[in-house]
Amino acid sequence: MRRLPETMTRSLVFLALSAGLACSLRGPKGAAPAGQEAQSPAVQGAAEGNPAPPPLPSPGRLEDLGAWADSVPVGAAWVALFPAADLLAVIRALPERLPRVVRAIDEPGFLRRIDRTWGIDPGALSGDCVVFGIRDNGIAGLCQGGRPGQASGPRWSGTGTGSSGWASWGPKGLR
Amino acid sequence: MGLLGPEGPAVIGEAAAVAEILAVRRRQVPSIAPVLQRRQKDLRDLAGSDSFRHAALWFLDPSGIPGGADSRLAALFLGPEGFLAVSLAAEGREESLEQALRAWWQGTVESVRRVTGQDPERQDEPGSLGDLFKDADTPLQSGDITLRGDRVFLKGRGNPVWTALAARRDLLDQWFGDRSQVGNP
Repeated sequence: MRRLPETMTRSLVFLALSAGLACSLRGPKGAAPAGQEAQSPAVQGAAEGNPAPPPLPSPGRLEDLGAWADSVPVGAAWVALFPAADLLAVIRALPERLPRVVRAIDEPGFLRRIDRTWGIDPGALSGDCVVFGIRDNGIAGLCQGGRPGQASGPRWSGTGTGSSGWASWGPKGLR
Repeated sequence: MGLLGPEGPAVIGEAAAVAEILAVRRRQVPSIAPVLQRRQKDLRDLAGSDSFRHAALWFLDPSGIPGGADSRLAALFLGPEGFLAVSLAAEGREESLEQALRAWWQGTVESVRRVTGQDPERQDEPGSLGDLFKDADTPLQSGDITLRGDRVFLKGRGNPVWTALAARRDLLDQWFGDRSQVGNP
């Protein structure tokens, strides 16, 4: 089978754990339809055969990304920004939609297992999250709010170094 | 998982990537702030297409994505109604970028449909899983590629994240599967 490129799919799956799926779950909240995307002046000019005028600022979420810039390393090849609430909504939906893949059939049990396995309390996340990928150095993310879970699970222990491992620091370790 | 300072933010990720976050916070490694500043014109140009203002994915280095060899910057914007991917062509590479993205999209549609069509869960539990794969197929059905000026758009309905999840359930299994034998509570 021809696979989707790894970078693209890993990025999209991270978005799946964030805004994307939650959008589907929540339904519309007033954004403009996809078919009505704003055209930049450069595009409009090109379409009309006129010289492209300087683009007008329309920062949108780009401005929000700027607020995180000081925490994202220069080597980031891609950066995603999404509401933390969407991440929780997606996590809650996974046992219903993909019960065999995530090996859970109910939300509370799944959340408890995430806590035990990853040491994360998803319910404590708030505001925006930013996730980025660094070539050869893997993926990491930051979320406003947040609270470590009750225990560090097996996915954390003993793998604090190496590009293929997972960080195992507790909250004091990052202060 | 940890907190940067008493009030957060929370940090999670692969060890090397988290180490880079810490190094950036200690000013041992440069941040992307100067990159965003230097590329502000193109970034704002792309952001002008984002009518969703909800979730965004910027490919600051598009070399690893489809059409990347012909692109200088790309982004994917998502909202409740659909998605819009925009790729800015490198100078004089507009048509080759369009061709590359069309070829990739056609291959993606075919390969994802092959995978989702073989899903054993779909046969056993047609209810919610049927919905899942319907959601996964909506972007494939509706995706439309256009070249306008110096950029190529891929616009569609639905959520391509469902599509990616349906095609790469192995990643979810890796992250959320219970291989650690922690056991369901």
